[in-house]
Amino acid sequence: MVIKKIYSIGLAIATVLLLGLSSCESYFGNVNVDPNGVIDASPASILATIETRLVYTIGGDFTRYASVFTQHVDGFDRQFAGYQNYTFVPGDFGTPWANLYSGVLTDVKQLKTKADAGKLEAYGGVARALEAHTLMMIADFYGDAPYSNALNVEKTFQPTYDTQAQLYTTIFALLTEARTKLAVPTGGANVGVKSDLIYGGSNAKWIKYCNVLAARAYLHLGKLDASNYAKASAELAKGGFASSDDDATFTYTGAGSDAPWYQYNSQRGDIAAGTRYIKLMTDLADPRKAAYGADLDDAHPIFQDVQKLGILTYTEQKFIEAECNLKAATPNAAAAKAAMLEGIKSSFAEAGVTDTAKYKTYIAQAAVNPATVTINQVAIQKYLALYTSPEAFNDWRRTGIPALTPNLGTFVPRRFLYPQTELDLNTNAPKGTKLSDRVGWDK
Amino acid sequence: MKKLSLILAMVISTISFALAQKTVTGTITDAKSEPLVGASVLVKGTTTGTITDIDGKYSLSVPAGATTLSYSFAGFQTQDIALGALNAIDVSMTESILQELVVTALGVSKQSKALGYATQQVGGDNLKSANTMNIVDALSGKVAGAQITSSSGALGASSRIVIRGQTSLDGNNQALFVIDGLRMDNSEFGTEGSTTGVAQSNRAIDLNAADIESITVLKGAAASALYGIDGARGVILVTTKKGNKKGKGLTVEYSTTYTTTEVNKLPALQNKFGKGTGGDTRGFNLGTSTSWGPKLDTMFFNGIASEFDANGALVGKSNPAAKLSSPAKTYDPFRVFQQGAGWQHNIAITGGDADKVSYRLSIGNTKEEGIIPNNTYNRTNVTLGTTANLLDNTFHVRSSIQYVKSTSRRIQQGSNLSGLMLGLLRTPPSFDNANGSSDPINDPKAYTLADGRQRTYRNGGGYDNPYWVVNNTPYTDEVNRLLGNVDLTYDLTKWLSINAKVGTDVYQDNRIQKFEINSRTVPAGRVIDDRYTFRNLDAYLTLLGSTNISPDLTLGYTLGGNIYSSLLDNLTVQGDGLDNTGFVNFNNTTSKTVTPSSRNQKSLAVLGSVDLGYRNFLYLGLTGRNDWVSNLIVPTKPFNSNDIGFFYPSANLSFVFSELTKMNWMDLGKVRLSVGQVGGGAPNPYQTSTYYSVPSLLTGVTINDGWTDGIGFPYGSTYGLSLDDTKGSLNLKPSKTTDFEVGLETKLLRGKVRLDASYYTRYSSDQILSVPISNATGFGGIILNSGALSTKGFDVVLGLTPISMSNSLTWDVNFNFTKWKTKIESLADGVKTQFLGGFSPGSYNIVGEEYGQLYGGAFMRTNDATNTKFDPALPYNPKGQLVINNDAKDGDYGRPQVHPVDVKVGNPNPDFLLGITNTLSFKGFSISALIDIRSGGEMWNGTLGALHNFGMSADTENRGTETVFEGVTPDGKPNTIKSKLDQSWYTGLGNGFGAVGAQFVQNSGFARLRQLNVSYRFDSKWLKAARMSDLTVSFTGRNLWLKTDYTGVDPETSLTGARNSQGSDYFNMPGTKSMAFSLGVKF
Repeated sequence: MVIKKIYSIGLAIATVLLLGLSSCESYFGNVNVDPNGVIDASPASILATIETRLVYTIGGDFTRYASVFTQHVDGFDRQFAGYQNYTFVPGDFGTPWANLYSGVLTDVKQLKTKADAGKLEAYGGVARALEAHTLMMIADFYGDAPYSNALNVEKTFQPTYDTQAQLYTTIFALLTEARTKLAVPTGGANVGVKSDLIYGGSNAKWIKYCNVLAARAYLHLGKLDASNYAKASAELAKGGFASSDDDATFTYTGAGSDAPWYQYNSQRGDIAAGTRYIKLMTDLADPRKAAYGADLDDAHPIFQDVQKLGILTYTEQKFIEAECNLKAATPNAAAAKAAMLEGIKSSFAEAGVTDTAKYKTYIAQAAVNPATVTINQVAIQKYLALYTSPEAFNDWRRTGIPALTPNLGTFVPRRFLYPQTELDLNTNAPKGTKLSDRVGWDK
Repeated sequence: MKKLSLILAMVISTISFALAQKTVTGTITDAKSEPLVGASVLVKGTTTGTITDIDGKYSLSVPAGATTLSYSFAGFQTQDIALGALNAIDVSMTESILQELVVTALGVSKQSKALGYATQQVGGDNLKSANTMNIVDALSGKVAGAQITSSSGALGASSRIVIRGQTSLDGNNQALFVIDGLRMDNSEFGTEGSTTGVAQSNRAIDLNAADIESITVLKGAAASALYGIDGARGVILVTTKKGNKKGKGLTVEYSTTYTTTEVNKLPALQNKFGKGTGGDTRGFNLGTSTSWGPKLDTMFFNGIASEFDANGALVGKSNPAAKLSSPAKTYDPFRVFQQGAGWQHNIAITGGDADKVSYRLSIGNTKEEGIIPNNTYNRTNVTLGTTANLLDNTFHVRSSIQYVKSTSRRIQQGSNLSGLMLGLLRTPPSFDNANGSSDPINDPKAYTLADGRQRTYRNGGGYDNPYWVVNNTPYTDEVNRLLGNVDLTYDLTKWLSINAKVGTDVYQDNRIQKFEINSRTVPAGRVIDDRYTFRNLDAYLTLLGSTNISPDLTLGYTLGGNIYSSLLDNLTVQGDGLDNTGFVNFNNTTSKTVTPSSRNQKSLAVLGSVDLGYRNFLYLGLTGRNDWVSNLIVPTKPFNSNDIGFFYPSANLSFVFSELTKMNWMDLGKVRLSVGQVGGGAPNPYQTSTYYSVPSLLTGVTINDGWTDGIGFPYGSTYGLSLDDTKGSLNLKPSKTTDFEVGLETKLLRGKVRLDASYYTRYSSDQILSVPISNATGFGGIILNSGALSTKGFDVVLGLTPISMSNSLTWDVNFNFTKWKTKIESLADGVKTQFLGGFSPGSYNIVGEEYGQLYGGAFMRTNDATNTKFDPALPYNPKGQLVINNDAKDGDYGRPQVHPVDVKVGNPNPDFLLGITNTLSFKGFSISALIDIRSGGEMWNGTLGALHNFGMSADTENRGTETVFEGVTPDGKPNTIKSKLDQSWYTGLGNGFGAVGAQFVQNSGFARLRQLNVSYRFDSKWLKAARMSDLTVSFTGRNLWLKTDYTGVDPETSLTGARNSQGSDYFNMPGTKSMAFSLGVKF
């Protein structure tokens, strides 16, 4: 009796267990699939993220560190009190690097794959244009960096480093490809770009952007080889920005979508407008001082939560034009002057100085606008105009204008350090890099 | 059992009557001199004997020639006493250790002496008398092999419990909670980041100590292997009270406790210098953050009242506006702390018959307001426990159902502009956060300006005024939880039973965080509604039993299956940009974001065990378990149960050598040996896929720059997705932890010396973790089987009873000693560090080092063979001399320099832990004191570093003095350069925000009077008259005394709560000391 009972119960348990195992698959079902995880993403949603991340990263440490180096700002408290004296460690340079590689470039890779597979040429073009911009940020600030062997986690965890010159070759190639793709008329499978937070899906503007970006790239290389100035001019000749309406800007709308400088100043502070920069404006009776020299509070244009942050602008283009005209094999000082003045005018508008009388008074000064302008005026005016733009740091490294006195010690930094994560995790990372070292085109 | 022996003894006594020749009388009592009823007295070698009566007395007629009487009682050691010429023999019996039953894995009770692994039990009374809100804290110092760390003195703050070291590089390392044999959740969820927000709870806080019968701690893998991978971390087996343990009858118990709490330790601040910079004063109408102003004894008010100070602004003596009759004042910033107070009530009704149906219904409430105003916690537990033995005692039912409701209101802390300590400690001594108000907590004038902005020392900017924090940034939560289990056993035969156990743990945790407009964290205002729904189901079906194979050989066996699922859903809604003040509600926000997340896991297991006992001295236990776990499933591959299943065994051996030697002075001598392996899946679900996710302000995974909140989606009406930073793996195999344990257990001199020592090693390999990789690969991390960690350690429980006078004084001393080192053997190929959490220095795993080291910036030190030079090619030497900057042009001339890269700067793991409990009892009085010692271990005092920068730490009172930093100049010569300790030092290299975090790493070891209990139990005669069965009054003090070198708050603290990243203090809430008075009565 008892044995029988045990037998039947044992059988029942065995059956239950066997059933459990044989229907293991249905028991588990999709439990290891994140119900909130997105397996696939639309090109539009990826593009929106790429743009947002690229611009926020440029507006982050690229802007802040570069602005400390160029003395556009002074760090006075906490971490920035140290940075003001150039006490940086490799760990301080990790976020921009990580944002651009495992953020922007990874998403660019996804977008390119999708675009190329689906013949979405406009997306393919914009992806490459932004990739070129991203690589240029990396190349300019870090120098040699991984690319040709990078972004392929299946292949290697330790990508090798391309030289800065190789990166620039890649940048030009990407811009060429981008323009080819953007030139394909949209329609049919080649749907226009959606969720484009920079140009609202205008291929024409993206082509101009590629031209201006290529010009900027050649300008950077001018210090290495003066023939690059002509190449820069040639790029602009393909069709640059017609006005500041063509600026590549990202509009921050406030209320939880605040501009990066605003977020920094409201959440942390520690940074003020640079005293030397303010003095320069004072010396030139610069009307932009009211805006750019103000305390970093509600009054300052870069403090606004609602803000258009430019990453490539008509103002900058005009100064590129001016510099290239001066440095051409056959310099054209008149064209340089005209371009510079247009750049100043455009900058005044950005700073909210709309009174044309003020502009006229300003450019009437010989210190600003002598009869024959030289690189000194062009570079100083670009320095004043590109307030807190990381590009100002590139300009200073190329031209040495304005002459900067180190806040502390004997040198103003000339590059970023490789991040601690890279030093720890990638044996190919160059060791012993110092802030005073010069990147390839800065030699 | 007792009944049986009673009957037996009666029979025996009847038989013996006829042969009586001499009469021996006496009383048999236990160690506490309580009479033992029904104890048997037997003439050795015969069947002649008797049993004791209700007063423990016996009278036995002994036949001629008898030489020895044998005294025995179930649960006590048998004593043989030579008869000689004695006619009266009183016997005090010692409880039999050999019969002790211990709850083991799956709730199976086993004989303590048969176990080949370490367990330790803490009784319910001991837990309750600790008077802690969090049950985890009640175990502090009472379990050898366990490290408990309370994260702060904020009410409801989590506590971490780690047993015998870490087994996972970045997964859960805390012990598994099992309640009545079934898994219970002990998660700590974060609403905001781990270093910001409020102190969160670990969910074991929901347990009420008054409902707990006992806690048994299973320490090693052999003990816990049947619980699967979760068990590798050690198991806290909670057994709830379920009715009468023996006999029958109705009892009603009531107890109440009144507790007062105070801050126990605060950092030292300077109160000599006012707000300002460079020695110049700055008004409170300016944004200046620092107190590098003039000496306050040179400053006077100008009498022009403002909202910042009714006395006016501070000016120097020479200023014509200075009112010399009104010198500057300093204020006590710590005034915001108050004396906390709380009430606890427990009522329980126990009834029924232990042998048939018995029940216990209890209701407990604990309600407290903390040391921080408006920090409250209120918990109610309603518990019904039942046992039933039916169908002729062949069908056994045990069940427990518990409903818990807890509500709390918590205060912002940590690295957070609204963190209470952040604004409080940075406030210059000349600023009165209370604005002269006598009741600033309830007086908006203290913290609000007329224009609606906050009243802060930085003109409304900077950090929140502490009184603003406690009023305008409320965080409230409500947890409703149901914990229920049913355990059914049917005895099929004497040697086989079937057991079914089902338990569920279901709770809803609703949290609301509000930030009024002008809160510094979110000036535009914010409201977050964060909801967690957790439910698990744990079910076992088991065949089990035991039998005698031969008179010398016993066999026990278990075979069963287990189904477990745990599902967690989280929905977070955030509203930003309040339209107007006074209504922090979603209907008043300009934007709303919703973020869902889930964490679902299931497993199946088949498990079994065999226990062999040879005679009464050699025992062998074997277990095996095969798991199939959901988190190894790769969704993109066809399902194959072999990919997700794995088997792991354990064996334990107990050799009771005292049974062979029979030495009088040794009650128990036992060596034990065990080897166990536990396999595991991934620490988290979904790690086998790479998803896109929405960058969101809520998940904290935003598009940001490392400093700011950044940007999330939707952005306006634009939707964005980004491929995750961590690459999922398609080729995971299970991870493994292998344990080896050897132990010695002995009881000597009739239980007066009790020793239980274990030495163990454990090795965890094939860890599944996110391995950091070069971002240039396109990912910041990848999930891999990678890395190993090993632990070596020993724990010792030593109990002594130096004095045990029957009927009067007893003195017990118990030592619990814990020591382990968990070493990181390897991470992934080429990976030397792994980030766990915190700031800089943060918590990292570093290959070759102990678990969770502090890693960050350090001063440059000599590291060459002569110890006089720094060579960048050589490794950092923490013991080298400082290398002093001798470049006269440099701003840091004469000061130490920064080491070029981050290095290990501290080790938060203690050298050892020691809990010493002394208990003295005399009649009804009992005094017990637990001294808890944590020797060694380091903590980053980030608070101090930051306060250096602000000129607020007491250290900065030496501003302006000169020093010569001890060290060498780069040329290797001793440094003789004088250097000023001034603002440029404290805000530069000597600044906590600067490059060198190492200088703020301090020893966080301590010795404390963890617990002091004084109680008096009224005499039973007196109670009988009052119709009570028990009346006890007691006093409990916690942390009344603390000794430490740490200069911040109580060093038992953790910025990131109970997470793996321990050893960081950054404006953490202070710890507390408490005193409580209790009254317990039983009818």
